[in-house]
Amino acid sequence: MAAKEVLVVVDGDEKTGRPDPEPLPILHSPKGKMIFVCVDQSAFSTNVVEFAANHIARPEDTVCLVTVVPFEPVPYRTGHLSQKVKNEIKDFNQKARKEITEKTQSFLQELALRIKDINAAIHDNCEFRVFYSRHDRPLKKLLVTKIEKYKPSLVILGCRGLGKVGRTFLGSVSDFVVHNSTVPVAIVK
Amino acid sequence: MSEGKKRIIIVAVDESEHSKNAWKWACKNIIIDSDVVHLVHVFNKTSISTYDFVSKDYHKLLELEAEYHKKVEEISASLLRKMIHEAKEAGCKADLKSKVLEKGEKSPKQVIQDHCDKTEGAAMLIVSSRGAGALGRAFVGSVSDYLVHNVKIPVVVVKN
Repeated sequence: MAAKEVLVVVDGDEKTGRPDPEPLPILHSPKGKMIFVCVDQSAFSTNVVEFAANHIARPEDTVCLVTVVPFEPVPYRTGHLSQKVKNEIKDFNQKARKEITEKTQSFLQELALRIKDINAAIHDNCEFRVFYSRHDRPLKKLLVTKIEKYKPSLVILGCRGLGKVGRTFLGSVSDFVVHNSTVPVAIVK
Repeated sequence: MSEGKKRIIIVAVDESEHSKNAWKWACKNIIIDSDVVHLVHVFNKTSISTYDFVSKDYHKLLELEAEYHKKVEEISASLLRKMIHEAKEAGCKADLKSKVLEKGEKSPKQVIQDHCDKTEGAAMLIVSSRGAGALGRAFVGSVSDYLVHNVKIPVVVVKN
């Protein structure tokens, strides 16, 4: 009955050509579609999630709660490090990523409970996705690339998030995604 | 979807192919049987009369103008009727209402914005990202961009 657990999503590496371990979300029925609900840790995200559950999602759809978390892995690709040190750094990076993922899991679980209050059938088909942004993969472009890759049927965003913007203005992330996404976008006010 | 009341959904269209695709998408993905849908089109009521009040033919010009307005309104209404008919043939059972709004001195963007803000119980507005005046490189047209920023209800921008 619980929503699916948080997947530790590793950014696939286009430069080295390693295979991408990100699995696509499971569509539970052929009539159902995939909906991305982009949330962050601001108070406005509850409005976004409630709008999605009340007005858009149907019981056969898969709702993905998507959030982007900043994470800088320690670089180890330089040539002059020994193999032992490289392995240590790799382990450290993995541990740090797991810790951050666990911290984001708590607020994603809270949002999933909100969906459950509205409609338990949608909650059964919920998934969580955490993407990691770096200084060279900024948040806005990362969201747009992931949307192009996963191709959801609809992306839902709030008009503002952690930044402090007035009531009817549009935040920079939402503005960027509306302009550059290839997929229908819904903005919640 | 646990809505007891009927919700109102506003879909703004023009004559372009993009708007038709947006309408089809909305009927398939968002509209449920218990909705009331306002299909909105803004028609341009330009004045063709001159300011020549002294002329003998002024009343004729007024008659011509009235006829012209009626024809333009009829074109808008027939476009909306066609869209509603297509939706009903595809199996949409919601309450589809066409609203032809006249553009007076305000721009079409403001007319749609006023309609959205004044309709009580409006759940969301659905627009297509581009319309009749589509620039090749622009990803979001000026009307949908304005509506996303200025309308107080949630907006869905449909892209193709």
